[in-house]
Amino acid sequence: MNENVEYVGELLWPGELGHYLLITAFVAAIISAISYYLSTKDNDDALSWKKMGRYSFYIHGFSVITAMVILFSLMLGRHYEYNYVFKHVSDDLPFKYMFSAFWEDQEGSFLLWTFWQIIVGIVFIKVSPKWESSTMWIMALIQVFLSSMVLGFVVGDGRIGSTPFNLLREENIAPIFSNPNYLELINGRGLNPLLQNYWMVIHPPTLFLGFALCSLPFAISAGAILNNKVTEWVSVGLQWALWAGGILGIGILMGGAWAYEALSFGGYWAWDPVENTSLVPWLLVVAGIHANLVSRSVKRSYKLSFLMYAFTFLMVLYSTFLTRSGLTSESSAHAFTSLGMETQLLAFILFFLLLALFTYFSKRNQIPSPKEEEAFWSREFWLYLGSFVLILSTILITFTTSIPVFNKIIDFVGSITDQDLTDLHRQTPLDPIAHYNKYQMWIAILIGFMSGTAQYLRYKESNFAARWKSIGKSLGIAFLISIPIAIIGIKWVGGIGVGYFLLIFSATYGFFSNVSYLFTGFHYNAKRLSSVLSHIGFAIMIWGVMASGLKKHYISTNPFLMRELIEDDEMAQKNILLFDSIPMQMSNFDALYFDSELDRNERKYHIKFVEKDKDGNPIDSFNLSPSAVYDNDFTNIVSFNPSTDRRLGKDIFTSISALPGDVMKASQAKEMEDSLHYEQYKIFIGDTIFLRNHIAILQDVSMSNFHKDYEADSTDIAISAGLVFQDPKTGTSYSGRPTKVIKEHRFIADYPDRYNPFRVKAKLGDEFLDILYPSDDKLEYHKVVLENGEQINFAPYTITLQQLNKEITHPEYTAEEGDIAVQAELVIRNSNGDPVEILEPVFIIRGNSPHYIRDYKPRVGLAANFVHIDPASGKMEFAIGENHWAQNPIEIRIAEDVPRNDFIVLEAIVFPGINLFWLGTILMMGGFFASLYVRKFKKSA
Amino acid sequence: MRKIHIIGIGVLVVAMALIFSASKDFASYASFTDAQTSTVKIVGQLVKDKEIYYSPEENPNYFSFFVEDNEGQVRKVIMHQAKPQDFEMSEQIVVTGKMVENDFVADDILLKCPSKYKEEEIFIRSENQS
Repeated sequence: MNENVEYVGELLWPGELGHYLLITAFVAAIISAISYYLSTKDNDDALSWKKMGRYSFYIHGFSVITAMVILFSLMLGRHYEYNYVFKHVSDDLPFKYMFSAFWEDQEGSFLLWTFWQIIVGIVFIKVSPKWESSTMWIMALIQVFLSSMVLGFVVGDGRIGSTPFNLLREENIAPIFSNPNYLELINGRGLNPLLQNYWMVIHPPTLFLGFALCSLPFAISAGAILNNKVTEWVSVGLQWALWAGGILGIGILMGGAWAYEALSFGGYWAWDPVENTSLVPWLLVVAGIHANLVSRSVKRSYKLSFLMYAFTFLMVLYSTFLTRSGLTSESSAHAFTSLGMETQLLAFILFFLLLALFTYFSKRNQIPSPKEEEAFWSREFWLYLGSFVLILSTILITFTTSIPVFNKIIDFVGSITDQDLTDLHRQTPLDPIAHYNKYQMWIAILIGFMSGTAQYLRYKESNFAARWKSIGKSLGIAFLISIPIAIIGIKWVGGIGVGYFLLIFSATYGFFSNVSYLFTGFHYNAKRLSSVLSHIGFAIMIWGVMASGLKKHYISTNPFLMRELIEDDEMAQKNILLFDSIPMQMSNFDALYFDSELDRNERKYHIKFVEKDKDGNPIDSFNLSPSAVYDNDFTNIVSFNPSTDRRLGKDIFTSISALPGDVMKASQAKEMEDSLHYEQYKIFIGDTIFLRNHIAILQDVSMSNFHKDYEADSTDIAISAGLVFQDPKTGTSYSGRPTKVIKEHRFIADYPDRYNPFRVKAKLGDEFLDILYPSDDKLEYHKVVLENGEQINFAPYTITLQQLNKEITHPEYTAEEGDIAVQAELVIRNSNGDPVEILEPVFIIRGNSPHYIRDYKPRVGLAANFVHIDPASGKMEFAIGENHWAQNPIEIRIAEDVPRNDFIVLEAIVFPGINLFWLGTILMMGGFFASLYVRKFKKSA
Repeated sequence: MRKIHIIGIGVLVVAMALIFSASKDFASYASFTDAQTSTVKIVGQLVKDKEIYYSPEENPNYFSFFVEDNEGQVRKVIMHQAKPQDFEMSEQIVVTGKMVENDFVADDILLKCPSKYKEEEIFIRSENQS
């Protein structure tokens, strides 16, 4: 239906160019993969094939990056003709969130991932040129699949990939597209307000860089093994696996920090499917690093290292599949909606699964694996054990996370066997945190014990009895020191049960045994530092997890106030009600909600807290500002952002859990307004209204002072009444300004004024419209005849006919063909001779009959009609109408017992020791980079 | 068989055992009848034409609504916490708790909402159209 429309203002060539660039990227990736592969075959042309592969890869990279630049420019330019731009950008989106908008959806995040793969590939070519051919053909194959995700080719019923360069009118069918000027009528939908957060700017790129790096150890090892270099890859593999572990770890942590800082659930980790599926590759790459250390040192476990790296990459792909197929949308807060690319994603996984299996089984017999067994007290054996514990952890996490996948498989089996197997469906755990913690706790206990002990063991141990003599003392002391400290620790965090005690004990033991390892032995060894750092970090992290998790407690309770309301004492009372400017006691704090302010689409509620000791003396005070986020058209509140007071020992976390219904939803505000009963009072200025509990005095009517929320537009005419409410008992009073506005000469808007402490709300009656825009029968007309430039008295004003204009500016005038129209300019001056207003009535001859358009100015209360022109004498006749509204009573409407809407429902939680968690995780990641640094140093020395 | 293989198999056995022991975490849901005797998780639909009561001015920690379980029974559910966001939009509600007299007193709630990112209509500035 739209084919014949010539659209105005569309910019189409960048989209076409971008689309062709993505196709080029796809083709170049295929060429690169083939060329690189051929260069690994021992033939005369290996070098030229390699060059071909490399340049194709560069062309691929150039195409993808240029396409990204084009997409980004289209977003910056607000080219809403593009679907992706329309869906994620809006006129008012600030530049800093443009990046978030870019990778908010599937296409953009695939591009981001592809981008990092390219960067990682290019850096790899430069840093490890020896391994270029064997590795890069696999990396290029990954690019083939990744760039196919943004192709947008239609094949039969389906399509391959989804291009970000599709046009809005191609993706949607709407009547608006019959308008060639539709672009002028639309604004983008904008970035989801939940994602308007700076973590969204930095977390996804870091995570995707981590994902991209995870592909390298696999590509290096698989490529090398297939190229019959079955063992030589261990050093280069380890190097890149360390990068992958470090960066991916930081990316995951950023997600945790985001969750803790910006999401209102009160925690840094929720075992959400998306979190889990990014954690699993990290655990696997760490397991791979441990296996790889063995293979580098004692030339065994090559197979295990390779398999770990393969599964790392496969789990990255599986993670992508889970989050992008829409399968986890039930159980995850941040999954993408499906784009119908499940098959393509599955093909991606299957291809590389087959490649990994082929590599393993075709070369299995060539990979050396020594016949003799490793000794039980050898380091390599304990490193195996460590890897296996991590693998166990990943199996458990993956199983539960995959339940939606199992259900899908059950459905699939059901559909081919023609049975209803839905009874076999299982649910994801309702309390995922409890479910996962239950098992992962034991994993952490094992890690704590092993990480310390294994450090002291030697590779290829043949005489452990002798070794024990030198290390037994250190381990024994670490063990003994840990007992009292763990007991103190468990008292502090308040955990009950053997599990918790073992957890804190093993973490403590892990800490001390690792610390003492750093200082034992005869020579200082920098190599030790990195692993010690990571393992100490892990131990500290466990302390932090236990402290913040078990000792976390709600302080937003007021036992005195709530006593009568509690029906079940065991029920946690988590929320407290704070009225504006009324201090409230909660636990050992005084809380005062004293102000709120709007910052873009976020309303911040400022609360002052005073912490008190047991005797009620103030010991500390601080302000927090949790906020509520509006959706992009300000009709509803869509989320709450917490605000946290960060200290060394503990965090105080606050989040709003509810606001008055009429603040939360525009529809409820309307319902509320409709349910109010307004009493009508017809009074004169200066009169007093006696309400049930208060009095109200009408002080003035103004056309220059308005309600505090009202922002004037140039075409508005507005009026307000100055109304003072008083409480005769206390003498307190409040001055309000209910306001009525006529917008764009058509719409009437009311700005009622309310005073919550008195529970009153006032608005202006319809008579006020007669002041703003009276009908003719409300006016007393006088005939006035003027010549051009003539002035007459019209008490208390003077009126001057300044001039006649051919150009009609009167807003009610719409030109028609054949009109003869003239607009008079009548200047109204006050008794001092200062011009105060201009009346511009219009006289029209249309179809041989005269027409008049009145001009009325409420400020002076005068209307003018231009009724006659006498061509002979040059005299113009006007009818000037006076508005005597002040002689009649005017109507004020006041509702009483209005529900208050100046409160917030607040949740406040104390997280003790959470900084131990952050410190621990940072040390853990620091270990990866320390290791890389030490290795680099060793190499160059 | 080498130690390492035994341990590898051991890991798998432990994993299976743990998953099996956790099977009740994955179980389907109970009904209000089961809730008479013990604490259960109930999955049901929000009854939209009955009162959803939350008045934070009265008590920010009292919230009640009606749920129809899978057997078609409708019961009032009482919670001592604030009303979750987007509650009215939920398709499915999972509540954990037990029956106290005729009401189901829940201490935990989980909502399954249709989609976080609702498809919105194309926004048109209606003022400009006229």
